[in-house]
Amino acid sequence: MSGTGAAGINPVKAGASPALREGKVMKLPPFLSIDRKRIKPFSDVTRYGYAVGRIRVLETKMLNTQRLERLVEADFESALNILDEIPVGDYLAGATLALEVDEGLTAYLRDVYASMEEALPRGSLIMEFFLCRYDFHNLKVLLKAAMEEKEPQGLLEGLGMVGLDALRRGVENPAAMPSPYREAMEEAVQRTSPQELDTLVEKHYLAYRLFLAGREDSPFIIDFARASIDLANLKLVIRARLLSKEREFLDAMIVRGGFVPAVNLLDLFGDPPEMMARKLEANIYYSRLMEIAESEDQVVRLTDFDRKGEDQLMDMVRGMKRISVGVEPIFAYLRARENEVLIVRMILIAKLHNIPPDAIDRSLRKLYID
Amino acid sequence: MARINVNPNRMELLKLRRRTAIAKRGHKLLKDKLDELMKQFMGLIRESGSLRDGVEKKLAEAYTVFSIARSEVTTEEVEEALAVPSATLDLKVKDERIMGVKVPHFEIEFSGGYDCYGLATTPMAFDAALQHYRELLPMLIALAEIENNIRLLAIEIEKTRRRVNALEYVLIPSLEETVTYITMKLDEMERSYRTQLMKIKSMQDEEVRARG
Repeated sequence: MSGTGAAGINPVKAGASPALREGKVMKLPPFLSIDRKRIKPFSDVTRYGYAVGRIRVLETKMLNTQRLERLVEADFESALNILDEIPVGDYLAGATLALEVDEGLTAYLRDVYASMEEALPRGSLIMEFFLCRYDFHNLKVLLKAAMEEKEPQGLLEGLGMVGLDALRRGVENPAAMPSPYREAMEEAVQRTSPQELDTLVEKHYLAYRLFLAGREDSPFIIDFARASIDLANLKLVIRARLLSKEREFLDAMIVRGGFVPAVNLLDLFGDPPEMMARKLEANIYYSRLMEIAESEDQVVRLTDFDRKGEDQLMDMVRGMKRISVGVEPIFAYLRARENEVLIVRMILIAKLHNIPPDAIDRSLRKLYID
Repeated sequence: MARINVNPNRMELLKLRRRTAIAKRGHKLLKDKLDELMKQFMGLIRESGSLRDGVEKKLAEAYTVFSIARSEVTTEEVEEALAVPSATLDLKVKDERIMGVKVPHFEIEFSGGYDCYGLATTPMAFDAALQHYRELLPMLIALAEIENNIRLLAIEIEKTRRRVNALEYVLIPSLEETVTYITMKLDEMERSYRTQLMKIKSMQDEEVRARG
C-alpha cells in the first residue's frame, strides 16, 4: 500500500489532518506528540511479551490506595493482617521487631527479583539496573571495613549481581574486582573520609545505572536514570550547603549525565535559597523541590524533599505502565515493587515506634497503583 | 536518755560543759549547712526538672525523625551509613565543690561533622535526625551531671541530717543529762558534807556543853 492518498498527499509527511496541512493547527495536542524515535521496532519488544503478561497479573496484587489508607490507620497487629491480603504479608507473618520486618521485606524483594529474572528474555540488562544497588552497597561496607580494619557490618547477602564473594576477593585483590566496581574502588580507596568514600561509590552507582539504561536502549529508562542523577545532585547541593562543605567537595562528587548540567549545579553553590530556586526555574519541578528544601521546618523540608523527588520518579514510572509491551512495563513493575516494600517498611516501623498516623501519611511515597 | 558513764566530779563536769557547748555550736553549724544544702538541692531539683522536660521533648523529636529516616532504608543500609563515625567528642571532667561536696563537672567539645555517610542516596532525614542527636548529647550530659549532683547532695544531706539529729536528740541531751546528774551529785555531796560538818559541829557543841 502506498503512503500517498487519493489527493496525492502523504499524510505522514504532510500532517495528520487537513486542518494541520492547511496550517490552521500550529502545534499537535500533547497526546498526539509522540516521538517516533522512541518507539522500538516491534520485534525487539516482543521478547518481553511473556514477562509483561506475567506482571500484568501480579500488578493486581499490589498495594493500592484503599489498603494503604487502612494500613496507616491500623495498629501494628492489624497492619500485618491487612498485609496478609497481598503477597508481601506471607513474608511478615509473626514479625514483632523492626529487624524481623526488614528481614521479611528483604526476602520478599529477593523473591520478586528471582521470579522476574526467570521471566525475562536472555541478554536483558534490566535486572542489573536494580540489583547493582546491592553490590555497590556491599562494596561500601567492605571498603569501610577495610578502612577501619574491622569485620564488615551490614552486608546484604543473596542480593546483587556479582555476589559477595567476588566483591570480597576484589577488595583483597583489586585485579580480581569486576568492572565497574573496580573503578569505584580505585577512586574511593584514595579517600580517607568515610563520607567521601560513600559518596564516590554512590556516584559510580548512579553513573553505572545510566550506562545500563543506555545499554537497554530504552529512552524512558534513560530518562529515569538521568532524573535520578538530577535528584541525587540536587540533594548533594542542598546538603553540601547545610553541612558547610567546600565547593571542591561538590565538584568531585556531582554525578555527570543528568538533565541539569553539572556546571549549572556548581553555579548554585553558595547562592541564597531564593536564588537557587530562581536559577532552576527553567525546570519547574526542580525549582519547586528547591523551595521545599528551604521550608521553615527542617524535618519537614528534608523528608519532603526525598518524598517529592521519589514521587517525581514514580510519575515517570507510572507513564511507562501505559506501554503495552517492552522492557518499560517490567522496569515499572520492579520499581513499583521496590516502592511497595519501602512504603510497607515505613508504615510498619513507624507503627512499632508509635509514630502518629498523620506523621506517617506525610512521609509516604506515591503509589504505583491507585 | 542514756547518761554518760563518768565519775561525778568537778573536773568531769567542766569537761562535759565544754563538750556540750562545742556540741551545741557544732549542731548550729551543721543545721545551717543542712539548710543551705537543702536550698542548693531544691535549686538543682528545679533545674533538673526543666532540663529533663527539654531532654525528653528533644529525645522524642529525635527518635521520631530517626525512625522516619531509618524506615526509608534497611537495617543494613543504616549500619553501613553509620559504620565509620567521623565526629569525635572530647569529654573533660573537672571537680567542683557545692557546700564542701565534691561533684564532677563535664565539659564537652565536638570535633568533625556528624555526617559520615554518602550524601547522594541516603535519606535527607538522616541529617535532621543526627543534628537532633548532636544537640541532644550535651543536654543529656548536662542532665546526667545535675542528676549526679543531686544524688551526691542527697547523700550529703542524709549524712548531715543524721549528724544534726544525733547531736540534737542523742549527744546534747545525754551531755546535758550527765551535766545535770554530776551537778546534782556534786550538790548532793556538798549537802552531805555540810550535814556532816553540821553534825560534827553540833556534837562538838554538845561535848563542850557537857564539860562546861
